[in-house]
Amino acid sequence: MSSNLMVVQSDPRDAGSQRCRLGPELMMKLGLNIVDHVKLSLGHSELLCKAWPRQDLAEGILQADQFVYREVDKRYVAEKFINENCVEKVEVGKLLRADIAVVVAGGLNNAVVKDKSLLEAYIGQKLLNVAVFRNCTVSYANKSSLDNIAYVLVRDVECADSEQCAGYITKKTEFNVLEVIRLEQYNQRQQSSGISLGALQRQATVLKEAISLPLMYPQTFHKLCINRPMGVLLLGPPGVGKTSLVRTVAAECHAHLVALNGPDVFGPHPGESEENLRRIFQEAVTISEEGPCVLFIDELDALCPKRGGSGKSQENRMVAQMLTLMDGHAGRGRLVVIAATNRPNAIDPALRRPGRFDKEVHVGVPNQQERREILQVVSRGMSLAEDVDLSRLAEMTPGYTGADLTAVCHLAAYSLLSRGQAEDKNPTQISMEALRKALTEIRPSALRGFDGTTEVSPVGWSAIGGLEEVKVKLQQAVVWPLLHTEAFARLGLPRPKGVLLYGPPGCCKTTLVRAVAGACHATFLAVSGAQVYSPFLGESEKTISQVFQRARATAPAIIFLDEIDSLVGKRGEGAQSGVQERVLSTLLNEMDGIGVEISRSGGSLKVAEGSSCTDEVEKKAVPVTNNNVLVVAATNRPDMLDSALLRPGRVDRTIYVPPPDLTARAEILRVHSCKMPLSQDVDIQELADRTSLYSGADLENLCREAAMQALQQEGLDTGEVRHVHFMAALQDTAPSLDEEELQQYQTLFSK
Amino acid sequence: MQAEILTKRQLKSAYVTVQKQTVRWKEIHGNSEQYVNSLCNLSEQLDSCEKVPDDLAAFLKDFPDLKIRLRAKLLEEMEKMVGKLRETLCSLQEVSNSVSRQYAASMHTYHTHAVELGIPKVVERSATEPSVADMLEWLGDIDRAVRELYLQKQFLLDTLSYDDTRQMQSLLKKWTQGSDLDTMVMGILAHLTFFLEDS
Repeated sequence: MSSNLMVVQSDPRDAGSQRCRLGPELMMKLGLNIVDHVKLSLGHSELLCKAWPRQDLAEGILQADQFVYREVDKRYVAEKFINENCVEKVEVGKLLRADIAVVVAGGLNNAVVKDKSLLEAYIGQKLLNVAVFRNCTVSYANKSSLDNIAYVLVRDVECADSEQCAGYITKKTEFNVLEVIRLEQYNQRQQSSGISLGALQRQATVLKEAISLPLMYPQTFHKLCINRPMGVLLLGPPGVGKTSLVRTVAAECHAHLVALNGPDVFGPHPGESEENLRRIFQEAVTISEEGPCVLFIDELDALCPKRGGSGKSQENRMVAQMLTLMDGHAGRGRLVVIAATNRPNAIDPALRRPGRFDKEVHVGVPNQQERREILQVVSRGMSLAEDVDLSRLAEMTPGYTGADLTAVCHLAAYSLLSRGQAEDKNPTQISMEALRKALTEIRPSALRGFDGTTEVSPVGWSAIGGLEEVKVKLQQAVVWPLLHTEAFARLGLPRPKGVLLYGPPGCCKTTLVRAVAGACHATFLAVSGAQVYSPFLGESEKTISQVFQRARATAPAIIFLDEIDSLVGKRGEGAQSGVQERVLSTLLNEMDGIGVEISRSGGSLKVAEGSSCTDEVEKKAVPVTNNNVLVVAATNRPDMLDSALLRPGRVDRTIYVPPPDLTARAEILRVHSCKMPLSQDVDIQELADRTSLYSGADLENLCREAAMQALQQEGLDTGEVRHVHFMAALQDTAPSLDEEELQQYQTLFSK
Repeated sequence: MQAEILTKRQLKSAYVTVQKQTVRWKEIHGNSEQYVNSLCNLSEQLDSCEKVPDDLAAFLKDFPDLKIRLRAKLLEEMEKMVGKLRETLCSLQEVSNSVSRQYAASMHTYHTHAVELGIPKVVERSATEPSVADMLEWLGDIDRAVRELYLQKQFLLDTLSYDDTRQMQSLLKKWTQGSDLDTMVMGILAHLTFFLEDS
């Protein structure tokens, strides 16, 4: 029989003694004598200890000194109770030789640490009688000592008896110090080993080059007479992983990372902020003398905004100080400054020149392939059900950044947990359904808190009666280019840029677009006139161009402009103020792609004009379709639109949405009356016959009216709607369309 | 029965040695403080000597190499003091080694008789006499504490640099730091009074 042991924090008096306190009866049971070595497997770490009886001789308690350990799995939370089987006796012999690394706090400048043989002798005495095994850590972290040695990392051991994997240190043990590490760097390595990057390889390569190339080939740099790169500026929307990219790269290059948070630097007194900045730079420079060092400035836009604007002298001084520091340390030492921002245009332009921030790296919103990689990384540790298809999930999440995807996975796991709690059973696997549900709850952060767009809830194709021809056309024009990009690229077919839906009012143009939004997994931005127009000069145009910027950042995307005639009318008509015209010209420019700006998505390979495009490049470039923005507009006054908007190249396809014909009307009536309890005598076909010139909205109204009639005539407790009621409703409602109008629509584009 | 008697006899002799060695440690350490004191003093003089501007007074012109000579003299004195401290360190090492030897011997005796003794016997204690396990534990604690202290002193001497005034000034504090070894040993020996007296 084996019982559980309660794990208790070790006694401070035992610190450094490597003792593991056990009850005497347990020791007898396990056949242990005092100072016999035992191995404890505690889930998150393995400990090597010497068995001692407890002083109060109590059973059922385990008190182990965390002195020599090996971390197994950091995410594992330490448990309060462990099984006896976790305590295991090990044979330990004399140690002949050990390869070690030493972690030192507070500078590597003292004589003992500098002199390898002295350090080896010192460590030998310090660790006398301590038993160690391969890849273990000996921790002095909790004890303050003059020598500042925080950890001794044992990399490899060689015992007298080659079969044994652990040994205790005698006076004859030889030590070999492989490296001396600063404590800060060690802590960073411990932390950052947990971060893993999905995608972002391209950006990581650039950063690695900047950090490690000058270190690897100092001679070449000297010979070629080039300065080492000084600064790298990371640009990209929030949540795409700029900060974790820097941390990972720094850890991989074994560079020390000094983090500088923009807002942290500011002090209340004049001159204090500059002083802080100087101090941090100085610190980084000092560290860079010992090894490669990265100074990471997060949120650079807060630290160095554009000068001369609002006349805040403190910020101006700050920028000036920053420029001086960057110039002063350029190309010297092994310091690389990496800054990150999501508002590159708010940074003082003087910083963005070669010599200060030489390189600018765009970290864009991930495309489908990258999203898949991110999902794989995020869900690596999770247990997923078999029906989870990550590629499908990646397809469904345009515009989601790394942070969003992580949130989605976590939310799915949480919902599973809470459901498991309600049903009182242990949830085991995350299903596709849970992930889908989480997707609906988390909106991509790129679209969050953004003016000028409205929410549109997607509907299914089946909710629209009739209009089969239009549906097919719309699918060709909108869904195909987004879903089958390879086919378009293969035939050299340019993607349409704009689609215009026109037709009489009430013929479900808007609903059609909503169906499209549901059918292709693209970001859907609906622009409404109310939010675009603002009383301030220039604000409306800005909003439009921002919508396009967003859309490009989260490509593939559909921008939906409902009632476009009211948004942008014809130019040069009436005495209107120029706002509409300016919005129109902005829209035209944006559709032509002139306004391409900051938010270029990462991953696209640019090929210089005229240079031959190799096969490889082409292959890579095909799935990475950026600028994949489609404008879908709807109007019932196509004659009011500016002709410049309607030319091919802007709006390539115009689709006429006709009023419903006979069969379509029947279908629409069926769709709208499917929830009504219809009596047997209702003849939908006859109704459809008698409702020519009725639009879809009219038909919906007719159904509603008929139901009201039923309530009115039969009393409130009636159970069905009969044909008479429809007839009465037909009397009351009139068609909203007329022949003449329809004629106009049809002739408009048929020339 | 034989095993228990043998182990206890070894432990008793070990503690007697520890008692003697602790007294010795205290004595050596007390003596060493004066050396550290004078070392600090010398370092201060050296610092003052460095601070004298070259063109201070006319009378210095008559002795052009006075500063260099003075510096050499002071450094020589400091060397001497450090030499004394090194000697002290050697004696402290002897103390540490002798404690270690006692600990190792006690452990060895215990190990040879461990099977015969068994755990219940080892943890058995009475009003006048601590258990064998307790005594082994305390002996181990003392051994570690002594070695730790010795290592600290060694580290201090190894990292000493004559020109670093600030380090020199804090030397005395660091040197006497953690000298509560005496209290610790006395506390432990207090538990053992009857055991050690009993012959």
